[in-house]
Amino acid sequence: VRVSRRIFIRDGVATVTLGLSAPAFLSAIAQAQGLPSRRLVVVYLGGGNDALNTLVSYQDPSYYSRRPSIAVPAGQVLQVGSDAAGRALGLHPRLGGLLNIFNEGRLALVQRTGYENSSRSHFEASDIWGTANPQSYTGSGWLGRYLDTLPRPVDALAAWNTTGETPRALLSGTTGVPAIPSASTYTYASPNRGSVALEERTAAQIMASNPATGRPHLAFVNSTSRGAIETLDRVAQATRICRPSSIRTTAFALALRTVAGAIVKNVGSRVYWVQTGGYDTHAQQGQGGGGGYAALMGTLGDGLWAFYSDIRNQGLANDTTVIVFSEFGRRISENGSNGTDHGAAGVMMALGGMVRGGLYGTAASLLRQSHAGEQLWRCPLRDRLPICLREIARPVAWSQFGADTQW
Amino acid sequence: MLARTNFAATLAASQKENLGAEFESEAQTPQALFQAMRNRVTAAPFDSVPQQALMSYLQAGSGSWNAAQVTTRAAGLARLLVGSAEYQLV
Repeated sequence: VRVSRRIFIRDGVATVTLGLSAPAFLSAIAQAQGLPSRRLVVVYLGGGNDALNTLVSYQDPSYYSRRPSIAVPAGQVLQVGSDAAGRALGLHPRLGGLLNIFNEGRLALVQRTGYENSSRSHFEASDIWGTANPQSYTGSGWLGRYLDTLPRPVDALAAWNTTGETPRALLSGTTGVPAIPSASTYTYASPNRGSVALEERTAAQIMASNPATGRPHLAFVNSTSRGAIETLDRVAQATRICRPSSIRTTAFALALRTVAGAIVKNVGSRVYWVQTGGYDTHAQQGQGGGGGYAALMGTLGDGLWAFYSDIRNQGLANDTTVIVFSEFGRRISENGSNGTDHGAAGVMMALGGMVRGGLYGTAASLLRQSHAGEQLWRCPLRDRLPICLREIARPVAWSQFGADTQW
Repeated sequence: MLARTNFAATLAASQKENLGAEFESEAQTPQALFQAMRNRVTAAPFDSVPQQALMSYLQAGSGSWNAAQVTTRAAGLARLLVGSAEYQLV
C-alpha cells in the first residue's frame, strides 16, 4: 500500500505535531508500506559537534573575525553551493566522502537544528534528543517508541545498538535492544570446544526458554538471554561482509562496517545506532582547518563514505538511510584555548540512496551583535516543533517509506 | 546479557582443571556432579525446565563417565550455573 500525500499529511504530520515524536509517524508509515527491508541508521556525534566548522559559511567575514584561529580557510572548503538565503557554504575539507554523496544528490544537510532554551548540558541535551521532547528528558526514546509499535512478538534483532550502553533514543517500554559493539565477539563462549560446547549452548537456550511463571524478574532475564542466544547465528553473518573497504581504521568505521554487514546479510534489523565521540572541542580544536577537529571530520567523512559505498555497491542504498546528529552545536566565537564552548544550533545530515539531497534551512548571520548563529532555524510550517526532527524526518520519511515529500 | 554470561565462561575456562580435580571424588555420576556443584555454587532455586536441561547436558557425553568427562562437564556446568538467570538474581 503506497501512502498517498493526503494520508501522509493527515496522519504523519498530525502525529508529529501533536506527539512531538517521529516514531508514531515512522511506524505508521512503515507498517502501511509493509517494507521491513528498509533500515534506518542513526549516527550520534557525542560531545556537541561544531556545526559552523562542519558546514562553513565561508564568505561571511564574521566567521573569520570571530574565529581567527580555528576558521577553515575559504580556499580549503569543499563547496556545496548556496542555501536559500544565498549564503555560500562548503564542507570541511576532510569531508570529501560526504561531498561525493552530496554531488550524487544523496546527502541532505540541515542547518541550525536543535531546540529552544537549551541548558547546554551534554546529559540533558542528549536525553532530550533521545526523547525528542524538550519538556522531558526522561522516559522512553523516539526509536524505542517506534519499536513498541511493532507487531508482537518483536524480533530480538529489530534494532541493533553498536555501543555498550543503551542510548535513551532506544529505550523502550516493551522492547529490548541488544548491545552489539562487535559482531565478531557476539558469540556464546564456552570453556569447552566442539560438540560439548554446542551441547552447552543448547542447554543454555533451553534454560532461557523457561517461562518462570510467577517469577517476573526471572522471566525478564530469561527472555533477554533467550533473545541473545537466538540471534547469535544471525549476528555472526554480519562479520562476513562483502569485500573490505580500504578505509577501515577507526572504531567508527568498523562499527559502520558491522552495520553494513548486517544489512548486506539481511539480518532483519530495522534500526541501527552508531556513535562516535570526541566532539566536545573546548580546546586545541586545530588551526586553519587542521588539527584535532580535522581528524574528527576525517573519521566521520571516511567512515560514512565507506559505509555508503559498501551499501551502494550491494544495491542496497535505496533501502538504507543514515541520519547524523549531535546534541548541540558550539558557540560562534572561539574561546581563549583555540576551541569552542557549548552552543545551540547544530547541523544534521541525512544520506541514502533515496534521500533528496541538498541544503535545508539557512545559515545564520554571524555578526557579533547578534546571536543568530546560535538560534534555531524555524521550521517551515512554523509550529512549535521543538526539535527539528521534522525537517530531518522529511527526507528520511521519503527515503524510508516512500512518503510524498511535497507537503 | 551475553557479555555477563560469557564472563562465567571465562571464569570456568580459567579454572577448568581445578574444577575437575575439586569435584572428581564427589562426581561419581552426572547426578552427583550436579548436586555437588549446585551445593557449592548457588542456592538459587531452579525450576524443572532448567534442571532437566542441565542434567541432559551432563548426560550427553558419549562413552563412560570418567575423570576426563568430569573435568569437561564440570567446567561446562559451572558456566551454565553461573551464567543462568537464576544465579544472577539470587
